[in-house]
Amino acid sequence: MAENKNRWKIQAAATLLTNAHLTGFFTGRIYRGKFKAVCVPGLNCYSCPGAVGSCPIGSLQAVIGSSKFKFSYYIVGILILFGVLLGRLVCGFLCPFGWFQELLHKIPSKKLSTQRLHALTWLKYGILLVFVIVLPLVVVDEVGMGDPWFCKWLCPAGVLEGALPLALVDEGIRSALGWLFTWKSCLLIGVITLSVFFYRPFCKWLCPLGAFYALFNKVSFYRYSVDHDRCSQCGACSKVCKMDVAVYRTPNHTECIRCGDCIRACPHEAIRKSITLKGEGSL
Amino acid sequence: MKKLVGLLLVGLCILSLTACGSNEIEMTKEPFPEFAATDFDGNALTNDMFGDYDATIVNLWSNGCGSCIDEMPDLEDYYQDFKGKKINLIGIAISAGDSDEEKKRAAEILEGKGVTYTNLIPDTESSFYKDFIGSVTGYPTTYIVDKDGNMIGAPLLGVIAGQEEKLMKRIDKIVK
Amino acid sequence: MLRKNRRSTFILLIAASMIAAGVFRGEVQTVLAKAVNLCLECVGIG
Repeated sequence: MAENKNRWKIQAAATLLTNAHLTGFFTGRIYRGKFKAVCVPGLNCYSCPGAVGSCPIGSLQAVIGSSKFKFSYYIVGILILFGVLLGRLVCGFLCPFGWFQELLHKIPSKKLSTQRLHALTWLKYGILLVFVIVLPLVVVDEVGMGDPWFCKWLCPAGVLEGALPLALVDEGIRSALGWLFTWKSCLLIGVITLSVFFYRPFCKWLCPLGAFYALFNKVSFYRYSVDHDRCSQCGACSKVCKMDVAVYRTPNHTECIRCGDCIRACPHEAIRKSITLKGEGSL
Repeated sequence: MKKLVGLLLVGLCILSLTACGSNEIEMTKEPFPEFAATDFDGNALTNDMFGDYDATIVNLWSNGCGSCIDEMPDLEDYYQDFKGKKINLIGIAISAGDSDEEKKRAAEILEGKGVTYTNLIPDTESSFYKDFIGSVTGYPTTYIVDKDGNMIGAPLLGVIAGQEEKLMKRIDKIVK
Repeated sequence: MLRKNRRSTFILLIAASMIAAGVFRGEVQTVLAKAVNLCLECVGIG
């Protein structure tokens, strides 16, 4: 009842738009057009044969790891743009990998709470700092090039969206898969398994993109506010929140992916969005 | 839903297994397309160069590809080892033709990695670049070409390290 | 709305400037080159 029944439609549309190069899934060839100069907001591997834009995290590592640049104004600028406009609304509505975890969570099973595991949410900031920024910057070869450490060693989206669709269709790719693929597949299987029992474990604990957007939740144009004249502190919002946020106390917490379940759960309509589709919201 | 996930997991397991036991791809023969390229000293090169050797290993790499650049010392070793055996190794720097800056960058990379084997710069206006190189799946990609200028077998994707067996098998087949 | 959100607007301008600076520096070419050539490492081929 409290869940937003229509959010999946936007998630589906975002996934489709992000991967609109559908012929790629049949030919095994990735899209090579100019749109790939622009990043999509969510985590979507640019090695996915359907991807029409580039992955912000992948692109960031590519520029930092290149011998020419040590920092990317372009990619960080785009990330800040998404962040300041939407914050982690991107996670809740526009990220294909986030939706993937939610779909897995729908598989009937005992559901486990992540509340006690809250400390793990700090891990993703470490991953952002170390694997996305520092390692590509610092570990360079004689010609000044660094590896994309997160993409290469950790990102499960690359296996799900890149390796699997490509290997299914392309014999050359299939026969070239090695130990690295095996390692990353184990990570993917781990994320898939965890997602059945926990809600969005990758988003909570591992995603460097979510970590970045989280920093903007408090300053984004799109944000929540609690009308304290209406709020009775009943805690209905916290109870329904699958990201373990006590909404009535911290409405723009870094862990909030802005799914909107709390807004529906609130019996006093005390939680408001700053930007709504229907008329003016309160700021 | 459960079935889908089960299928996915089974699929993953199968793929991991096939990854370890490499499928030897059928030995197909297709002529290597006509070059339209120069080397880094400006000399034009043609497919005739294949005729001078029993086999030529052709490695395609790009400026942005970290693993391509990482494996260059290994390729240089192969080149040196093969010198006495009438087997050649050449590289195609596919991004060197994009601009002078890219060409300069490619030259820096080759020097920095100690590469002495010939590297080609493709002409970006040619069909060689647009059609053949445009169809390459990813980098690094390595072709093995016999002395008649035919590509033997499907290309090797990814770094050669870990695929030496495949490489040597193909070369042995050609040289015999 | 922009006036009410001074801090957010400021950050928005910073983001726009950074994007422009990145384009001017030629970073877009680097991004495009990486994105259109299959990243074999990303898919686990190394």
